[in-house]
Amino acid sequence: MSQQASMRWIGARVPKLDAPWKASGEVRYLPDFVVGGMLHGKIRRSDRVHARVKSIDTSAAKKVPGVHVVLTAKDVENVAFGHGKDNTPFKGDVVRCIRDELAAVAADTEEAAEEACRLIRVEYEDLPALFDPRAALERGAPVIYPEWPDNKPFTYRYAHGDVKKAAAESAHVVEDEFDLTWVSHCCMGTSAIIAAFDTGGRLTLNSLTQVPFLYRRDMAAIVGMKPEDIRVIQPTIGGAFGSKLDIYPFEPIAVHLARAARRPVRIVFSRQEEFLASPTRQPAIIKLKSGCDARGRFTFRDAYVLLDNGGHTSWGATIPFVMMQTFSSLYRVPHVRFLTDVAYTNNPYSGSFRGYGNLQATFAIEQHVDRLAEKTGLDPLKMRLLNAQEPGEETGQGLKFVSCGLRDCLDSAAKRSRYEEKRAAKKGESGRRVKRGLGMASMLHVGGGAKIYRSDGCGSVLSIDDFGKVTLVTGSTDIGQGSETVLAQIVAEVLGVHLDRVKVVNSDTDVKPWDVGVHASRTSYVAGNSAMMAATQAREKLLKAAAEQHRLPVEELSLADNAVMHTPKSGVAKKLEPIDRLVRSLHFSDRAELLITQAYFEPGSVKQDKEFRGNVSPTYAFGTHVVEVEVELDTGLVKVLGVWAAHDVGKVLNALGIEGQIEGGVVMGLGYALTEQLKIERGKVLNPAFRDYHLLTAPEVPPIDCDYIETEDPTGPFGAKGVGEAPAICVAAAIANAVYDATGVRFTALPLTPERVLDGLIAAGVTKDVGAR
Amino acid sequence: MTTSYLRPTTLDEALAALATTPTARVLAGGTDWMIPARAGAVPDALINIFRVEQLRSIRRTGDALELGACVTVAQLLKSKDVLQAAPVLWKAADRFASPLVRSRATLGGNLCNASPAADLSLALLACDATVTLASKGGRRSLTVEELVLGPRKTALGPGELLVGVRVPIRAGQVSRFEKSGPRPALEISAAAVAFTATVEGGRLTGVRIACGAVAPVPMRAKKAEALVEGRALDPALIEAAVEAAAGEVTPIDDVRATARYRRRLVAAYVRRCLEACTDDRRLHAAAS
Ligand SMILES: Cc1cc2nc3c(=O)[nH]c(=O)nc-3n(C[C@H](O)[C@H](O)[C@H](O)COP(=O)(O)OP(=O)(O)OC[C@H]3O[C@@H](n4cnc5c(N)ncnc54)[C@H](O)[C@@H]3O)c2cc1C
Repeated sequence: MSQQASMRWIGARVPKLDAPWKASGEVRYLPDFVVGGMLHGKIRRSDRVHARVKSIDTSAAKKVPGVHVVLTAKDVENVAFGHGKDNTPFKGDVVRCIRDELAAVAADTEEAAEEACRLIRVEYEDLPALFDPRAALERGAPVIYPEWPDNKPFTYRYAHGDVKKAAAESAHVVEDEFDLTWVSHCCMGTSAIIAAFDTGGRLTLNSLTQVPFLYRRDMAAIVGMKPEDIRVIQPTIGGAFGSKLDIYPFEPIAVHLARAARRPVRIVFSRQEEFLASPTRQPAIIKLKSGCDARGRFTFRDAYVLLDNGGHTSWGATIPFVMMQTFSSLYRVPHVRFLTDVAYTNNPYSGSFRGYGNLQATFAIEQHVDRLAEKTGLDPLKMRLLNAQEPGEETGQGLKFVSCGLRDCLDSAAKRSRYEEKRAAKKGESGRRVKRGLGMASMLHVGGGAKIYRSDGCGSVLSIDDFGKVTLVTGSTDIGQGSETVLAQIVAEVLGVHLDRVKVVNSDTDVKPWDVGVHASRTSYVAGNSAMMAATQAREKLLKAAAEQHRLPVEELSLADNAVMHTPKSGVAKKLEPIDRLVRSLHFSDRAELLITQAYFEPGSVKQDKEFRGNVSPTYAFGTHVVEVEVELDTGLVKVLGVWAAHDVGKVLNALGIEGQIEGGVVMGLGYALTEQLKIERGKVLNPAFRDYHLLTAPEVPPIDCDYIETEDPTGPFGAKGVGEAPAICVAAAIANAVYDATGVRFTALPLTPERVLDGLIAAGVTKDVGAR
Repeated sequence: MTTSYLRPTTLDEALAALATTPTARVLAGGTDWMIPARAGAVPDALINIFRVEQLRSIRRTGDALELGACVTVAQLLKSKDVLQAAPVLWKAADRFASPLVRSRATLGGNLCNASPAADLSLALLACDATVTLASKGGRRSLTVEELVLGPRKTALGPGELLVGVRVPIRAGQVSRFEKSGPRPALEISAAAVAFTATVEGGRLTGVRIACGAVAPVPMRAKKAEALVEGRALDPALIEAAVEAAAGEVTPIDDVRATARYRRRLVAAYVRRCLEACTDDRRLHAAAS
């Protein structure tokens, strides 16, 4: 279809369609659901980090009034699952981390279930434990899984060019070790599920999963069912951010409890449980060596990454897929080597989290850009512009940048923040006890999904009923990012109908067509393209029918204002017929035709080969952030004064929605940079509460100013690319660069808590210590 | 399980109830108490004093500010009298928790919970406040130091209730309240300093330097106070006082901060407080 110059819905500021219901509290989240006869499930977890389980005594638990069933590994077929096939619903012989599930109870009330869990007696025999991935790889280290005597279940190796030669020929080389720790997703809604069997033996799951179809398949294998006998319903999700991309033990446990009790079972995590037993962002140790020539052009990058896999494998172990793209392709670097080892320990394990390894990689790379700039005598902005990617580039790893607005992002963020001017003037305006600084960082991320399965596609079914109401049934999932609204906008735009005529259905696997799930910033792009295809077909059908009925050339017809419009060759557009009447005339005529279309969109990306080469996404998102900070030299407190972001988003689909995505992502990045840390010592979580796990609150959030670079990607719906993960990615790197600019001290570990910063300032002699006693 | 729950509306009723059940737990705003209670530490008997009107008043007499035990942090922040007569207490309230907690958290609860990190207790220590305890048998007055004996330990006897706080008004007083970040509020202090003094002709008198979260109880840095008392400040003297304060606190490591960092914070805060007294502009700010 031809793109109209002025669009009604695309680019408008549209509040999320479910916003009124969320604001009024009418939306029912999973913990609000009550199913008839439902029991409450609770899980008894390990008290030890690594131990042989000698016995589990459930006799007292079974006697608690109201308890229906108590299950342990002995009572179920305990099928292994997950990316490493090393997780099971219950742990029978050995516990390998503090969250490990030993038993579960279903009872009439939560209190009874909790009481029963407390009464379960477990006898352990402690085993030597590992808490440091470096120690795990040492010779003679305790072995966590006999199948992996070296504690190393995965390695990733990628290279292009000749790093050794390039290193020798570089004018400047910098080397550092970066240390990134655990953080939690902190979803407002905690993990939850309801499992219910019907008389026919079919299982209905009310689940918060981000990947309903993969989930159905995985769940079927774990609980011994056929996937088609499982229906997944996704109620409104109170935040996911990647945390619900994998299946976790509590979910099959709910099914086992429901099956054993012959009653529906609901499990809802307490907040403490959420901190202890939901996945975290993957910690990483990154040893990075980078070089450039005398003019500042990057020559090589050599990275060794060590990932702490914890006691079991979830998606955290696969972040190298994303990390290596940033190492290989964020800038033009002719020689790159990337090696990652993944090591088992007895720490909690990590999953997927907005950015998927990219926050970690970008933190290292973007600090090295600044370090090399300093060595070369270039301004960090110039250094980035010199090495920036451009449209048309195919990188060493085979990523193809059809559209690329990185240069514009750099220019825009620098200009709006007055980056160069302020950095030049800064020395003068700093106070004695407070120093100001500016820092910059850029990012690259997939912008249209990532083909890690055979298909990265999404199906849509669109129908227009006899009152002109449009229903889009999409395979995709909305986890609060607002994709439902964006899809409705796309459909409304193509069909020329008002947004309130469009309903999006996306929450039931019995109804919706296949989709991979919500991850890799793919939904607006992939599901958007799919919806657009279905809508375009419907549009063509409508126009064709109208042309036939009114005996007019189809080229003179268009859709707008819920109607078919006629624009004669020489003349102004006139309303020809309302869409609903046209649809009725199709339904209730001798044509007896329903207006239903379906489409399946498969992006033009490829699955990467064994060397990790290939264009994994059809398009890529770029961005640059500049931050200004103030550092208190006597306390180490870092205050962020402002964030100037610029994002290549292809095209703004929802001006209000994208603002929310950018601001939310920046705040998440700020928390990662400054305050958030799941403190884990000897395998135990020390701060499983919001009192001690510091999220930023509204007063600390600085003004965030974002510019959207509209590169209009030729493959995106109306030119759009994904932006869901992008805004969180380069915040921490920009902050670290700004703190360096302010104080002259580099920080290679996060978060930049006042205590860590003060330690660094004192070690560098910037701040004088008080006499130690 | 709690078997008895009383919600008196007058002080006499409250004291009578407490006399009959001396083991009953007093409940004010509940913002400290609810946390262990939710984890299962529920007492047999509870007496909720939050609705006792007599305990909710703020009164300014000639030379003192009198505050009821159930005055909330939100009330403190709304009171002009508190801002003028006990500015350090107002500043502590301004850095206290979130609006939600402020509307429940009480002065008496902060004192009687006896946390080493209690911000209001710290401010009260810095302004020489006294507290009044009452039981059916009578009343007695204690200083904050006499009331708070250790973590979760107070001098309250069986059947005794903290009913009020008296803050003497000192003319020309300057004050500061410094508390650790990273958040400006909604933060349990890793360290805090409450400071009051009178500055005349460049000399400090009546200096109070109270340090929180760096000892089992909110404590005064008396060595540092003695160093600067009656003297005109200069950089060397300030550094000596800073070193003294950092030396006399006895912090520990915990999940929020290391002892080392807490000591460094005390140094930074004491330095800020004293330096403010040497700078007219900042002095003015500290006095308001
Ligand atoms: C999110 C959050 C943030 C917080 N932030 C801060 C902060 O910034 N600074 C800070 O100092 N504290 C903070 N606190 C702790 C708490 O809010 C304060 O200590 C508050 O002042 C306690 O008052 P309350 O009325 O809620 O006490 P309660 O919980 O009702 O009682 C606390 C204890 O004191 C006893 N008690 C209460 N009143 C009396 C009385 N009149 N006589 C005898 N005994 C009594 C109770 O029996 C109980 O043992 C925070 C708490 C939360 C949950």
